[in-house]
Amino acid sequence: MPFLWNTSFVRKKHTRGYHEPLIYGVTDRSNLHLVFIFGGGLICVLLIAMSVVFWRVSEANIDRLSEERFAREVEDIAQVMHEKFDEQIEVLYGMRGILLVSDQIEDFEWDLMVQEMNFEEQYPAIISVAFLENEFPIGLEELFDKEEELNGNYIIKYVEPFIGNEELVGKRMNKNDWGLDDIRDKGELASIGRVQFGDTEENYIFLLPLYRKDLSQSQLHEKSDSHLGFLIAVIQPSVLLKALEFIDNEKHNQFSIQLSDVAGDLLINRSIPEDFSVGNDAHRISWSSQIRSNGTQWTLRVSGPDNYGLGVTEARMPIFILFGGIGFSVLIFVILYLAASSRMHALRLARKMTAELGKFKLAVRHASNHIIITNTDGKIIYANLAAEKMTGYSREEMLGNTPRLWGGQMLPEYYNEMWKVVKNDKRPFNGEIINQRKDGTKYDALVHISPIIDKYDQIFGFVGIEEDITTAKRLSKARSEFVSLVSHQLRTPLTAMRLTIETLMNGVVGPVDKVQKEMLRRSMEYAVHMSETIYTMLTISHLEAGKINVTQEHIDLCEQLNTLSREYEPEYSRKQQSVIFNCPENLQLKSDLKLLKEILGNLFSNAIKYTPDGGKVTITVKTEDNRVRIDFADNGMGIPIGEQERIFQKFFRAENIVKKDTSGTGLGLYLVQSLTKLLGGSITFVSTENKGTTFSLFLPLSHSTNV
Amino acid sequence: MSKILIAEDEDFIANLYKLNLEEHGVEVEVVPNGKIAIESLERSKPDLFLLDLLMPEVDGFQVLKHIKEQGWKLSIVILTNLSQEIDKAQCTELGAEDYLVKSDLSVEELWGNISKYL
Repeated sequence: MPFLWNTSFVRKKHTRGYHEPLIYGVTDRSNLHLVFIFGGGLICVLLIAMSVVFWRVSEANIDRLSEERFAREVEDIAQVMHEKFDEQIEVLYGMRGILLVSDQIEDFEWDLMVQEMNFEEQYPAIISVAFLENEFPIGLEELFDKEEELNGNYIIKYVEPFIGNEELVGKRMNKNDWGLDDIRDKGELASIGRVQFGDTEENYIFLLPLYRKDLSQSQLHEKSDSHLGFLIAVIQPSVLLKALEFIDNEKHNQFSIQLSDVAGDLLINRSIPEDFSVGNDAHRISWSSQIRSNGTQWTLRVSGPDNYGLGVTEARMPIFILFGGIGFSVLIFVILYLAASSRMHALRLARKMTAELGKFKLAVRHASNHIIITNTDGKIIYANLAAEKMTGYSREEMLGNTPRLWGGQMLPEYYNEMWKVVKNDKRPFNGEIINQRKDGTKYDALVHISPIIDKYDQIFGFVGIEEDITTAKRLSKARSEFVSLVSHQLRTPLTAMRLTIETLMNGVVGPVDKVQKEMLRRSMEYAVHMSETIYTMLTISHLEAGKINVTQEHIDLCEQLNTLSREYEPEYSRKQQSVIFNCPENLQLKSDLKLLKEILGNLFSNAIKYTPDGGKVTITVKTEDNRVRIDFADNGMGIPIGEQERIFQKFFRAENIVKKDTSGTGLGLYLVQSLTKLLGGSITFVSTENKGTTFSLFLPLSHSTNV
Repeated sequence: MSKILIAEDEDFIANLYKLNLEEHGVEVEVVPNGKIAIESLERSKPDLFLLDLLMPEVDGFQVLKHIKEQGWKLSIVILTNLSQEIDKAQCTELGAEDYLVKSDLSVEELWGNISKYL
C-alpha cells in the first residue's frame, strides 16, 4: 500500500538547475500510523454502534413487515368471505325474482319454491327464509291514517321449515317494527339485526321488500301500495366457509393458512416455505378485518405467529446486520491496523535506510579519493569533496559539466579507448591519467571508471574515481633515482678496482710474481662477490618496485645448466666436488632466460657453497604434469629443522651457516622464490641437517602469465 | 685494424679499458663526454662505440638520440653502471645493440661480448 508512506524525495535545487539526485531520503515524520490505529478504532466503534442501531431498526421493520403481510393475508380472507357473502345476497335478489313470478302472493307455494332452489346444497349460509305478507289489500292506503287500529299489519306467512320455527307462522308484526316502512320505501335489501338460534353463531337477518312485478323500482315511492311484503332471510356467515385453518406444524417448521368453502373448493391456500422459522407462540399476532355488506358489518379475527410470512433470510436479517456489522468493523480495524503497522515497519526501515544512506553519502562525500558520478552523456551529477579538492573546481562548477573540465591532457586515443571500454564493453576502465587542476598545475592520477548498469543491462551513468598518485610517482621517481645513484656510486669504484686488479693480473703493465698474482686473485674474488651482492640487491629492489619485466623465449634447459656448470667449474673443482647432471635431451622451456639464469645460478652456487669439499651435487631435470621439475640435491650441511620454515625470508640465514660463512647476505633464496613466483613456478625443499638438502624447482613448460 | 670508441668520463677506468682492449689488437679511442664523442663520430665512424650513460655535458642518452637523428650506422654497446630496466629499454629503443654493466664484467667477459662487432 504505497500511498501509506509518503516517501518524499529530496531534490535540492542548485543554481545551475542540476540536482543531487542519487541519494534520497525519507522525510515523512508524521504519525499517520497512529491516526490509522486510533481512527480505525473510532471507526470500528462507530460502525458497531451503527450496526446495533440498524439491528434494532431492522428488527422493528421486520415486525412491521410481518404484521403487514399478516394483515394482507387477513384482508384476502375477508375479501373472499365478502365475495361469498355477496353471492348469498344475490341469491336473495334472485329469490325475489322468482317469488314475483306470480301475481298472487297467496298462491305462491313456498315449499316447492325452496325445494327448487336447493338451498341446502347451494346456499348453505341462508339458513332460513320467511315471508312477511302485507295484510292490507292493495289500494287501502287511506287506512294508514288510523295507525292504532292498523297495528300489526304484517303477518308471517311462511318460515322455511329446516329451522324448525313454524310456530312463527301467523304472527303479526307492526309496520313500525324493524323500520319496515323505511325498508319498503327504499326497496333495497336491509339488514335489520342479529339473531341467535340455540347454540348457533350469531346470524344476520335480512329483509328484502317485495313489490308487484309490474312496478319498476323508480315508481315505488308513489306506488307504495304495490308493496306485497318482505322476504326475510337469516344468513349465518361462518357457514359460508367450511374451514379457516391455521396449520401450525412446529415439527416441520411449517405454517399455512387454508380456506375452503362448503363445496370443498380451496379458496385460500398459503403455505410458508419449509425452512421458515416459526416464531414464538407467545408472540402471536392477531388481526381483525371489518366486512361490510348491504349495511351489515361483521368482523373477521385471525391470529398467527409474529414472523408470519417472512423467509429465513428476512427473519434473520436483523441478526445478520448486527453480527455482519460487528464483523465488518473488526475487519476494517484489522486492515487499518495492519496497514498502520506495515507503514510503521516501512517507515522504520526507510528511516534506517535513510540513516544508512546518509552515512554512506557522508562516507562518499568525505572519501579521500576523488569520486564523481556522471549521467550517460558524461555530465557530472555528483562530485565529492576530494573531487573538489583534487581538481580545484567547486561542485557547482563541476555539476552539469563533463570531466573534460580538468581532463583532456592525454592523447585522443586514450579517451577513445576509455569510452570504448566503459560504454561499449560495459567494463570498468583502469588507467593512469594526467589531468589539470583549475590553477593550471597538472597531476598524475589512477583513474577507475565503472559504468552503472541497471538490471536491464542499460547504462545509466558512470562512477569515476581518481586517486592522486602525483606524490607516489614523485616518490617512486626519487627512489628510482636513488637506486640509480647508489648503484652507480658503488659500481664505479668497484669497476675501477676490478679493472685495476685484472690489468695487473694480466701483466699488461708489467710482470707479477706468483705470490702477487695469488693476492690479486683473492682480491678479485672479493670484488666479484661485491659485484654479485650489488646485483642481487638491485634486482630485489626492482622486484619489489614491480619493475621487472618478464619476457618469453625458448630455452634449452639442459644447455643452460651445462653453461652454468662451466661457469662454476673452477669453484667446485677447487672443492673437489662431483657434479652430476641428469637431463633429458631437447627439453624446451618457454620462460624468461635472464630471470631463469638468476634462479638456477643461485641454487647451483648454494649447493656448491654449502657442501663440504669432496661432496656431491646432483642436478636432475624431468617433466611432470606440464611442468619442469629441477632438483638440486647436495649432501651438505643441511638446514636445521627449526629454521626450515624461515629459509625463504629476506636476510634470513641459518645458524649453522652463519657460524662457518659470514659472507652471505640472506637474499639469495628470497630472490629465488620471488623470481620463481614471477615465472609462474614454485619451489620446495627437503633437508636434513648434516645430511644434505634437495631444492625442487617447478616451472611451467610455457609461462604465459603477463606480469 | 678495428677501431673502438669509448665514451667514459672516468678517465682512469677509460684508460684501463683502453689498455686491456688494446691487448686484443684493436685501436681504442677514449673520449670523456658525449659532446666530444659526437665530434669524434662526425670525423670518423668506429667499428664499435662503447658508450657510458652518465657523463657530463652531453650524456649517453642524448648521444644515442643524436646518432639516431643523424641516421649514423654503427654498432653501439652501452657500457654503464646503471642497471635499471627502464634505462636499458630506452637505450634499446634508441638503437643500442647491447647493454652491459661495467662492474659485473671482467675485461675478458667484456671482450667475449663485444668481439662479434669487430
